[in-house]
Amino acid sequence: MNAILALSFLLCQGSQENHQKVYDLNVESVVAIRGMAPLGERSGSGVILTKEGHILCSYAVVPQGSTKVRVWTKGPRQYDAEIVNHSKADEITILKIKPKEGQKLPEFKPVTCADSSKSQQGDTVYTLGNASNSIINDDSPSLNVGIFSGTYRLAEPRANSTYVGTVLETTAAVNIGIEGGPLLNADGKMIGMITLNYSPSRFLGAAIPWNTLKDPVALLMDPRNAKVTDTPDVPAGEGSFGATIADKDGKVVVTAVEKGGAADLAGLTPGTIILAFGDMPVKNAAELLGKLKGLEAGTKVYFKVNIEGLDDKVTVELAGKKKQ
Amino acid sequence: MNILTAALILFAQDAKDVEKVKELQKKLHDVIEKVKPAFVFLGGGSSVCIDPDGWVITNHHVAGEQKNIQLHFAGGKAYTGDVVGWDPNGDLSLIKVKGGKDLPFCELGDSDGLKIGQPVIAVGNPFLLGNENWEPTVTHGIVSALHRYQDWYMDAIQTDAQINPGNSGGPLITMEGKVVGINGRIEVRRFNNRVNTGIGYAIPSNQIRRYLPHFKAGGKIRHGYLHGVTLGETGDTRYENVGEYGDGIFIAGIDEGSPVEKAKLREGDIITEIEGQRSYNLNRLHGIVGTWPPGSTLKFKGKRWNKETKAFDPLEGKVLLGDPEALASKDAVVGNLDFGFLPAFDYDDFGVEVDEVEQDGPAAKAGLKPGDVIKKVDAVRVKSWADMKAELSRKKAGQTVKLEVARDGKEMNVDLLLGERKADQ
Amino acid sequence: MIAAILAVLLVQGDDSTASFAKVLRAVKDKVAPCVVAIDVTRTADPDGKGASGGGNRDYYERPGGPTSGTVWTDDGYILTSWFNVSGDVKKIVVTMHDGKQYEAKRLGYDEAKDVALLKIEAKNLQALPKAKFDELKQGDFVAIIGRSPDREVVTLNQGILSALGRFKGSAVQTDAELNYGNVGGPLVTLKGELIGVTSHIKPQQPWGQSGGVGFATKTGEIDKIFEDLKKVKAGGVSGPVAKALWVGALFVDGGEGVMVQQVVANSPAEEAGFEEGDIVQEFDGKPVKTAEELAKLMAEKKAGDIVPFKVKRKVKDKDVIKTLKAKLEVSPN
Repeated sequence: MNAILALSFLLCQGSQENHQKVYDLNVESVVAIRGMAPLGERSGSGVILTKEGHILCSYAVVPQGSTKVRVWTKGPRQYDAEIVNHSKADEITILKIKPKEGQKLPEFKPVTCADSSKSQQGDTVYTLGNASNSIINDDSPSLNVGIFSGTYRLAEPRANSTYVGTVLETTAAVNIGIEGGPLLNADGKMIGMITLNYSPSRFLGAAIPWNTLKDPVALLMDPRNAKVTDTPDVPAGEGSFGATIADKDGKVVVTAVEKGGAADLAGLTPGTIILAFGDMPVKNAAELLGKLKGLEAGTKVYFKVNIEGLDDKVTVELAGKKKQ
Repeated sequence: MNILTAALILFAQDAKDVEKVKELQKKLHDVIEKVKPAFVFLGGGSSVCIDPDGWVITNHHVAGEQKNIQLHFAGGKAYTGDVVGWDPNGDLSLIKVKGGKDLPFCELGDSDGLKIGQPVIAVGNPFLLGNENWEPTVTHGIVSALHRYQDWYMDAIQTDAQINPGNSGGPLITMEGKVVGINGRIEVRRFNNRVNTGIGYAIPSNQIRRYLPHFKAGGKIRHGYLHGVTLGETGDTRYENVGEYGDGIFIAGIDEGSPVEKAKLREGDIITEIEGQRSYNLNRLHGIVGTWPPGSTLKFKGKRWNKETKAFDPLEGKVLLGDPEALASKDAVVGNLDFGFLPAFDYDDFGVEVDEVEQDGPAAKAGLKPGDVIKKVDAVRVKSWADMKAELSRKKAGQTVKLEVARDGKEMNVDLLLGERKADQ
Repeated sequence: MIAAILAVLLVQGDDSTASFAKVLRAVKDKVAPCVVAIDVTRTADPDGKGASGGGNRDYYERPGGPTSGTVWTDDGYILTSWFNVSGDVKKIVVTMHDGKQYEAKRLGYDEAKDVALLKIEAKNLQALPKAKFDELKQGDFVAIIGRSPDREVVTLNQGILSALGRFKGSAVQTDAELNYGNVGGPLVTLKGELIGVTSHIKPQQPWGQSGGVGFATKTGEIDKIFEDLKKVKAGGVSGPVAKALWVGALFVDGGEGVMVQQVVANSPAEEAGFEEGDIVQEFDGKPVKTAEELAKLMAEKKAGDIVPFKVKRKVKDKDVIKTLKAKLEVSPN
């Protein structure tokens, strides 16, 4: 038995070498992103998905309407990128690197993804990315090590994050700038995308599981879905509005109404077209829900609607749980 | 494969797992045991002893320029010390423990040899928790990023080993027990909430090592820079033939008399590497030259656009850091000593070349000539003016120092009687 | 046969990272049944108040949701941190690892050691074996197991023993992340032995949450007071803690006086306008040179006194003298 153990020691790799191995495997696949979002310049991280230069990054860093998106890779090298598509609810933006005039693009190195459900609590995991602008300023992707410490549902968006749902928690350091970067397992494969959302009772890093992102990413990368905007039929959160709305033919339409809910009590019915929220015309369902989400129970909201062909003004008093 | 074998395998595996973890843990125990005795508590922070004679390095924002500082080595033994040399910008102070002899110490390691992912420990006194029993706090993490430029922390090591207020001035240590950095800064999420968030910055040991003779010689030290030159970053589309983004830095303009000119560099030249480190942008360039003392001569590599071949030709050379005039006037002074010669500042890291000899001064009387290379001072090897300055600062006016000198390929001994500089000199 | 074993071992991937994860998981499985979730309903929560507003509230205020506790005996005694169950408590519900819920009675507490005892009507619970303290060393791998915000899953945090003697020797220190969610849960060795009950995480402490500075009150210290904890006492086991006065600033000896090293959020010092780096030259009109001197002078005052501090501050490279008036409060430490 001792001989076997001794032989195993001779063959075993120290965990130090594993950290370095994971870094070497991914240093060319992690990128920094900077763009001009509607509310100002934002920087963050991302990963390369294809040899041609498709990139997965966080919607929080490159939201709808962002311009002048630039990407930095190890070198340092810098490229321009255009938005292919995005999904606010999934907190995803897909970019593609666009060559400048006369610029010849290299073949990019995509990250390897893994089944996030196979990861277990206690596994060593890593965060990698543009923490405090380490890639953009110093050409040094930041590597942090920790363990996969728990999973739970985050019910509220926080810190520019837009995803709510189950997250993989990690004790590996997560800092501003690293959102959009990968959560890597001990084999150096991506099991999640880092989000800045966190639990106020734990205050640790979180990542959206790859299994949750896989399908939306594929959908958003499919060129046939080029003009898909944010996901329709998004149910209202926390039961405060009490209705489901969707985009139909360029208009925002109520598709279902919760019996006894706020919308029901205000007289909204399936088929009602919502024209304006207060004085502002409503552009799409997700935008409207985004506005409602931040409001407290008891708030009165005024809608201009069209019910069965007639324009009307409706007041909805938001119901639901008050914030404790 | 029968059940017994399977069970044996499982048992062996579990035992193997535990053994491996115990091995990792033992490495930590060994490093902590080796390093802890060299840790020193002081004021509102930490420090570490790097020499048995009692040289203790810490942050300037912890010790400032104080004299008679209360020091406690881990375990509680008390001493007092004085700050001898300091660097307010680079945030370092070197303390001499009074009567220090055979003190526990931890050697400086090679910060340029670090790899991202390498495990490290930080030893310190966060929130002054160790003051009740003089037991320092140990935290464990890895090297997260290297060569970070964070204002005056120009070549910082980034670590996720948790560093908090009170850790400042304390060591960042490898598993081999060497000090590779002095921890001094952290990223925080909010003002007034100075708590670790997973990013700590340490001043690299190689920077400290380069300045050590200057600190020991006393006073405030200055940082190296390229004097008399305007620089840009490659990829700047306002210029032609200045390479691609990330290649290096290019010379946009050179002032007359600049050491860059003496290094045979011209406008338009691109510098890609200095002392083996890639200088891919201005931050990195400052991070390289700024962590050497002025008066240092650094090797560089680069490229020059060839109009005829329409390609880059490789370049190589050496460049002096700092302003030669300022160096000559300020740096060549050692206390009140009069030694009667000016050292050449652009000489190799081999000895001290005599540049000018003052007529009828001590050096002239001793027989020193321009071109002589001083290699030893009282049997202590000196490789640079910094080394010699440190040695001379230990001498007094009226003393005679024995110099070993190389002239025209021959070794000779010269006795130099040190005079006293008069106030108006 | 040996060859077969060898072959399997070789093929199995032989780096210590995988071993580490396996050992951690084994610890988690062993310890999870001994970790409970604690939900407290209160009518008043003076200890749990956070910053007055803005981004700090999230960080300092006691959040909703469960916190953690450690099964101490098999007949229903549960240990947790005093902060977890302090305040005007209406109801405490303990959820076991198997999902069973019990209402708990809050018994005695010790504020200095930040521990409190609960009792539930349950039998045949699993308590952890205790670690031998003299075998522990700085650098030992340790784990903290707590209850997640979802309550169903345990959370696992790993680190090392950072120091063996803190809080007058009653606690150990660890860099495994400790926060409002898992405080009160057990700190264990990688063999699953109990080192202590995690403690000393509360709004006024400067080390905040998950900052790499956490503590666990040693099992031996709890053993000493266990019988007393069973008897509920008005001022807790150690009696009302003789508290020092503070303003919420960490004062250390600086070169030319007493330097403010840190200002705790939501403290009287913050309200008075103290800034890190300020040099205190006078307290209540009397000159001070050392932190010890200042502490002595402060101790002569009463809680509630508003006292002027004369400080020197560097504003754009110029020295500015300011008088800051701060209210002395009872220190939470």
